[in-house]
Amino acid sequence: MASGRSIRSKITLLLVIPLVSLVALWGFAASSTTGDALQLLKIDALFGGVVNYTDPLVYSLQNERLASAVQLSEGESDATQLSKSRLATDQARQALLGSVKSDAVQSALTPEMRRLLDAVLAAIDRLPSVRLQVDDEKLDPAKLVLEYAAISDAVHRLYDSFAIGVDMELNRRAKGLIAADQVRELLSREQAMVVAADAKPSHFVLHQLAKIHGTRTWLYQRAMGDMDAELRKPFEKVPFAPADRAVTILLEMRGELTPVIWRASVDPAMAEYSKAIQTAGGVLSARIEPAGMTILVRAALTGILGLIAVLVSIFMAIRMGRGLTRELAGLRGAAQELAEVRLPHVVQRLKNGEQVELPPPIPSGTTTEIVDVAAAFDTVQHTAVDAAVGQAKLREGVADALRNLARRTQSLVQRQLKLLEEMQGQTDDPDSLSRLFKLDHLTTRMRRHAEGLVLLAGGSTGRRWRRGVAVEEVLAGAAAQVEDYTRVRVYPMPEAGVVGTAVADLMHLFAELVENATSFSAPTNEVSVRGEVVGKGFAVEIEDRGFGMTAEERDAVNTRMATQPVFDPASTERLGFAVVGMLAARHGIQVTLKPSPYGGTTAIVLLPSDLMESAQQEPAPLPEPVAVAGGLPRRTRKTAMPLAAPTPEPPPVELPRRPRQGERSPEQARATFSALQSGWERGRQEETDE
Amino acid sequence: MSDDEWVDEAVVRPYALTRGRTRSSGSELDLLASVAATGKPVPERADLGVHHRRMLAQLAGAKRVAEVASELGLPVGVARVLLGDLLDMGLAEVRQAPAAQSSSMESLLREVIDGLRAL
Repeated sequence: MASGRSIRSKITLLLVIPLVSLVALWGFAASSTTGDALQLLKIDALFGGVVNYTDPLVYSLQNERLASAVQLSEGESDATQLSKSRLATDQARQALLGSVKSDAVQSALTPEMRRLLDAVLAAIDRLPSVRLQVDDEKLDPAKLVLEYAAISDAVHRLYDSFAIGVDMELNRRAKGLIAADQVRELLSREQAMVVAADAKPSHFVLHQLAKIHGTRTWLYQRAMGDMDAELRKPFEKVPFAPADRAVTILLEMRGELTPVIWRASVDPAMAEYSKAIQTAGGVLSARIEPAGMTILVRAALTGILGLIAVLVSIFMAIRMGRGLTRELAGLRGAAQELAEVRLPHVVQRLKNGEQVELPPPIPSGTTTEIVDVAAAFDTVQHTAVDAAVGQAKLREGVADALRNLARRTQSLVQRQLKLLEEMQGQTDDPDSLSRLFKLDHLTTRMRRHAEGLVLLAGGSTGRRWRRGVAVEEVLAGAAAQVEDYTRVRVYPMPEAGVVGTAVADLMHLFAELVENATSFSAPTNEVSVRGEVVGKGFAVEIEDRGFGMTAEERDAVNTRMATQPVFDPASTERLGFAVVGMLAARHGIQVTLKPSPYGGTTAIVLLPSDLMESAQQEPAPLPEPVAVAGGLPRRTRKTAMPLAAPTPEPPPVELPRRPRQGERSPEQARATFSALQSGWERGRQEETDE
Repeated sequence: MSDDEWVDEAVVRPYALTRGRTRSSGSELDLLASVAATGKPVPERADLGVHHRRMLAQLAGAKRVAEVASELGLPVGVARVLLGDLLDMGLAEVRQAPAAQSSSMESLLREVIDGLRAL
């Protein structure tokens, strides 16, 4: 788990990559569609801000040119007509100037368009000088037409730079319409030129007329080619035939024309053509509008629907990712807690022999796999707890069996000890007594081992005293239980008693420590046992002069003794210390091993005050047998015999005494008996000697 | 374990009282020998166990060896060794040789009678 990235970051990565791509794709689609829409908006701005003003300008320029032509002709002139048309042109010019300054138009213009627009404006600026020449009648017809043509040519060049939209077909139709508009300009030039020449054109003018006429007829075919049937329809009504015929007459110089006939031939065509252009323009803009709508709707749909899709994806991704991460984190937390806290706790409790209930199941989530894993952990938990319960039962069973066996051994040994005591009391021969002593020592050690087993298996020593016993005596008794008891020296110590209930346990505890001290020192060294009253109770010091233990060993033993040990058949090392720890914990005794100044180890046992009884009253000279005066151990039933010892002389001894007849205690009787016996033996001996 | 309980047995096994010795350093004490404390102060560094001290306390007045043993609840062999230790240190002394030293039938018989009566 420590290596590698967390599942959270991996899930995040997993979700972020497609999301980023999705957003990028959406952005691309949206920008391309909105690009179209923006383009459309620009076209709209150009048409609204430029074409809508240049168109009337071109119209009014054509009118002004015609009026100027009339002015230049030799016939009667109409000054009001001229000034009216000039006024209209000026208005159209002002309107255009005002419109192109607006931000919408300026932002829609490309640099090229701006240059072309500037050219248009520059051409218009030449108008006043043209007008002056018209007023002075210094212009010939061809010059007049060319002066005005400069403006409309500039306008048409500007138109050519406009794109109508993204639709190729519409673009083409629009181009056709623009060309048709140019055709009208050319027609208007022919009209004005011939008017200005009074229908009697010079060669130069004729030459110009021929160029214009040729361009017009060629351009007209092109314009019609770019338009479809519906757009072409209005133009079919235009009466080109009279106009064309008039031009042909002039060019071929087949006859004379009057200005009136010219006007009559050309004007209807001009008027009809203008109407046709307007109609076609209306049709085209009616077509452009839905196309623009489609683009706008598409842009809106791509933008909005795409955005919604992206947002929903992000929302779902984050939600599911977080849900999954949370579930996994929860599972991990629960599993870790199970492994590190709950199971060890349950197992520990089972080890201590406490009742446990199964921990609650691991909370699971909504994802199948996670639920399965949680279920698997639950199963693991059950299995582990079952195994631990089984172990605990097994341990208990082993402990019970051990305790029973050890108790039986203890019982037999106890009987054997009693028998040995009887034999020791009866023998007078030092040699056989010595052998009995050895036997007694062996048996006592056997009893200690059996007792140790019982204690380890959770039982009690089974031996008890009803009165306090002097600490010194307890220590002497403990020393007697180890193999090398002769090396143990219990130094005289202050009188202090141990409460009767703790005597057996304390004796065992001291015996284990003394045993350790003797086994860790040379056979020639003394193990000294000292005791003194201290502030917190009574301290006993068991010191050997052996090789000592390493610091680690000592620490291990100290830890072992400090922790409440539980019967565990698996750990068999230093069982003695385990028993010490158990007994110490039972009575609140503090046992510490530390290095001795002699090189060995000193065990310091601190008996708490509540284990101590006040020291027996008189210190040195003890009165009549106290405490343990009842030398022989007696096996008694719980209902210890009620004893009214009628003997008056010995101080009240609470030991159970068998009520013998008369006033003698068994001890007295026995003493008397031995006296009798020895007397008798001596008598016999003397007899045989004689 | 309930029915197997052992109450108030000897705290110190007899062999430990004498450190395994079954003979005292001096001559063998007779059971009927009468011993008593000399009243000398106990030396500071004397190696005296609890039982030595108890025995010394018993010997305020002259007592016979058998008596001392039975009163302390000790096997006679053990009592002899402990008494021997006290004698060695001069803390106790033999007061009176047993009457049966130069045995007379009469005293022997009296002892027998006494013994029987004691029963």
